[in-house]
Amino acid sequence: MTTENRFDLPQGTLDLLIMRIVALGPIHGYAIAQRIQQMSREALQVQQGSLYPALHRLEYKKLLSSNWQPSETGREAKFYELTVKGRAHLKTETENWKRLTEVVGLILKGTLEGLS
Amino acid sequence: MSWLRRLFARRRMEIDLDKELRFHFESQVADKVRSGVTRREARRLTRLEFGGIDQIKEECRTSRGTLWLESIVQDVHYGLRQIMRSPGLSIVAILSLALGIGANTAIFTVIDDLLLKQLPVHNPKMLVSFGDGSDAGIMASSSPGPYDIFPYDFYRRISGNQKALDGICAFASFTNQVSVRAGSGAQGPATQAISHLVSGSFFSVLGVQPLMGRVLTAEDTAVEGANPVVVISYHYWQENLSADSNVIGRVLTINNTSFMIVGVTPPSFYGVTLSEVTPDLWLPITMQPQVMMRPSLMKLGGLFWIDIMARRKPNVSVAEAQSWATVEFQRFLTEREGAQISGRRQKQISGTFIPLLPGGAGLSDVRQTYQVPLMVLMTMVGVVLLIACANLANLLLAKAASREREFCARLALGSSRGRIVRQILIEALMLALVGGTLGLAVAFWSTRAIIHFIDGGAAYTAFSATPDARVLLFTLAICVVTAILFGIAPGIRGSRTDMSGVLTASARTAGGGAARSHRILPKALIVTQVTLSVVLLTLAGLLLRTLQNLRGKDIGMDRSHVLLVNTNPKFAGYQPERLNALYDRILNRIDALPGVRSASLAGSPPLQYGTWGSPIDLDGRPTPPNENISTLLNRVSTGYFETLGIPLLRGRTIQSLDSANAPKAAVVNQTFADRYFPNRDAIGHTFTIADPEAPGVWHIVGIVRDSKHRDPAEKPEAFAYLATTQLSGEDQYAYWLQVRTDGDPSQLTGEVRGALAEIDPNLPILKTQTIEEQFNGLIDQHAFISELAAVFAALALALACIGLYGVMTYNVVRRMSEFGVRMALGASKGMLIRLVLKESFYLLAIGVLLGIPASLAASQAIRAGLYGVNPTDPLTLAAATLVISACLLFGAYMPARRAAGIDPIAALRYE
Repeated sequence: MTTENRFDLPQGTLDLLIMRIVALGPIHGYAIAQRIQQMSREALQVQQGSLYPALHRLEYKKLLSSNWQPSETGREAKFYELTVKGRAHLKTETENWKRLTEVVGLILKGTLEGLS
Repeated sequence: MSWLRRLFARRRMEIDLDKELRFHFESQVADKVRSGVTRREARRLTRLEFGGIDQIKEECRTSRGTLWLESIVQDVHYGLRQIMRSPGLSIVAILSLALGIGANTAIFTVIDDLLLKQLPVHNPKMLVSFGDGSDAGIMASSSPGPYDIFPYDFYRRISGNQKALDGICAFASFTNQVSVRAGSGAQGPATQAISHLVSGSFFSVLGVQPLMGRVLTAEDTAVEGANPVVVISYHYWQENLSADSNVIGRVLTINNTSFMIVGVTPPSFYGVTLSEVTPDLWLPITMQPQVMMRPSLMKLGGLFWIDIMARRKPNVSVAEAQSWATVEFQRFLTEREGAQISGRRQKQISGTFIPLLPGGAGLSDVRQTYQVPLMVLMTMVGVVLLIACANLANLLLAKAASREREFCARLALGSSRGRIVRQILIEALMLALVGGTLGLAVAFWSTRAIIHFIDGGAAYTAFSATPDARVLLFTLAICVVTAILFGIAPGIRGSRTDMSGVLTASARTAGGGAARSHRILPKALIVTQVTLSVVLLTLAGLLLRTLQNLRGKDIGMDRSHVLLVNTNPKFAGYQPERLNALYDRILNRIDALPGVRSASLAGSPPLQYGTWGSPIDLDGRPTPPNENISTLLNRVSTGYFETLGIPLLRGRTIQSLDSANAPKAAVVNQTFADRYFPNRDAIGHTFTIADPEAPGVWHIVGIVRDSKHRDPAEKPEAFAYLATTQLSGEDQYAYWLQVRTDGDPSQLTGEVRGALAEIDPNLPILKTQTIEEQFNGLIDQHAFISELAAVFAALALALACIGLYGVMTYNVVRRMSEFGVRMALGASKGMLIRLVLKESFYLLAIGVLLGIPASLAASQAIRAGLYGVNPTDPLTLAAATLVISACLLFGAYMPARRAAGIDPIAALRYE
């Protein structure tokens, strides 16, 4: 395992990433972790200790729903899906995120004059 | 309600959670195997990456949001197991709490009943009372200051005025015992009942609806003597009229006048006075001459004898209503004086005022008597509860210490510290609730006893021992507060368990160095208990000595071997002119009874504050107006002073020569003689009485010793005894017979009753009691507070002893192996006992040292209730200290003996 290029996620970001992954279709916890790892080109590795509490929290908030289905290996796994509420939430949160990174990026680049 | 469903589906969710995480685990292992790692190595690596699976689970549960509820259910289960695991400890804890909470609930029930309860009427908060109703009876005087008793014509003047008040009602400031016969004839057996004279507006102002029939209305009191109607209480209807459903329209002969029953009040209604006895009958105030069988008190410019209550207007403030009432009253007094009125008198009148007080709780002399004692007792039981709490804290602390390993394991397995605190608090709360429930039972029985004490065992009373919602809420609140008080320290201690050492170390080392700082808390609690116990014991001691002093107080008469009999010749139809002959017959007949030394008659009994008093003029000289020459009066027959053992100092007593036509004779007490005839001999002087019902010139023929009337501790007041035979009209009636006996006076009750029945079977016996009982009635509230204080102090002491015993036993058990070593090295049993006792002794010494100044401060607070004993009385303090020392050392000796009795080999193996 390469550990040098791993870093901690800012608070709240994990929820957003999970919802983004789940938005692609029903998926179980292990696959979510793997998908995040792959999509971030191994830069993000989500710990089980953060992933599952986050999933349960999102489910409790009714942003995700879940059901038990056979996985690709044939074993039963808990598959998560976005709810309608979750989809709306993802949309606003994604927009928020984009604006936030844009603004933060601008400030960090020092081209603040360009804004006004 | 998904959280509720989830709560019940907890098991299912736990399985799912486990399955979900296991799936993740297995998938990760499988991936690793696929990448070429051996299965065994893959599992090891995955486990490392995973970290604590139980911690992950716990966090998942937390994030689910229902954890708090699920875990409380868990904690309750667990707490129950813990309570069951050490039943001895739990029983001690529960019993301590039951007694502590029970005592608090009992006193609070009485306070609730006596001090907080509102009248069972419509919107009692809007009722106001004119004055506090502390004066009762019939009075003639009017002096500046607050007024709480009024003439009837003042009520008539303001009753129609709705300017400041919504409705005004009046009622007699006293109740009357009346003789009642069923039907309209004068034949048939008579029973006694309590009646209350009230204005027609009484029920409408209070907002009381009848259960049956109607209540009194304004028409019932429009004309004097014209409306012989009666409203009866529910209780009287049930007990005396067999709950007859056709009772409306039936006739009762009350004091020889026929009254028609027009209504029955609801069961909850007990009138406006919270007292030992509640009225059975409510009669129109305008029927006063018939009911009281005496001339009208309603004539213009009459005497002060009624209480007034009114309902407030929502838009008029109490202050406005009060100034209105005061102005009306001053005008009334001024107009009553007539045309010429001196400037001084005018000034006196403008100094009068009517305080308008909340009337919703009714008037109560009982409340005034017991208010302060109840507050003192409430504080004392609060302290008792604190002591009980300290005990439980200690017991739980000891338990928490022995559960260190368990807490440590739980922390290591991912439990949060808050969760451990909460678990201990829940356990404490469970103990408190069980204790509180038992406490309610304790309270119920003790409240009954207390109320029995206050009402003197009256058959029917407005006081109730049944806890109402407020009491239950109070008990619940103290349970919760108690649980927090005694659960917080052990809880924090449990959560502070140091994870590193405890799991690996043996119990012996765990109890050693690291935990030493924790052991200060139990000791501090013991010291506090000792301190508080010293305070309670000292207070109880002071109050008991006060009672003892009052009981032993010389009251100026011989208070043994006297029987007092209350009768009323009016009920048997005697007119004043027939009374002297009746009195002669009674005295001759009773005197002749075997076992009787002497007998006498009087208007009011000894040791009772007479309601008869009047200003007097000495030797025919009018009293200067600024001088207060008023004296208390009683009317007595021959033999009065001899029967009661009141010593004659000079002159002679009332004799048979003081007949109706002889010069009027009066005997005065020493205070009278000294005050009005200083440096002169009072005998031979005369006085006249302002009260028009005792006319003529009274000659002082003798001086007797001062005796007490109201309170053994009172200052003597001027008192004059008039010869009954020389009075006339209303004042000639003597209601009390005194009989001095050779033996136990109560043994003669039957003979005296029989003798009176022989003279006239219609002569009712209203009450019989010994003079000792009469005396005890005077010091009731002292007996009440001091006896209960003693009980509570004993309770506190017992709780403190149990506490010390528990803590010391626990310490001994902890140090078993140490004692084993000491014994193996040659320590004697005596040395071990001393070792353990020394520790207790220090705690005791510190507690007592703190307790002495605390007791001195506390006894200053109750100094007003003490008599004949100094609040700083060293003897009481020393006795309290001695008692607590003896009890506590005994409590500590038992564990010490246990330490000495151990087998060294067994102790060393103990672990």
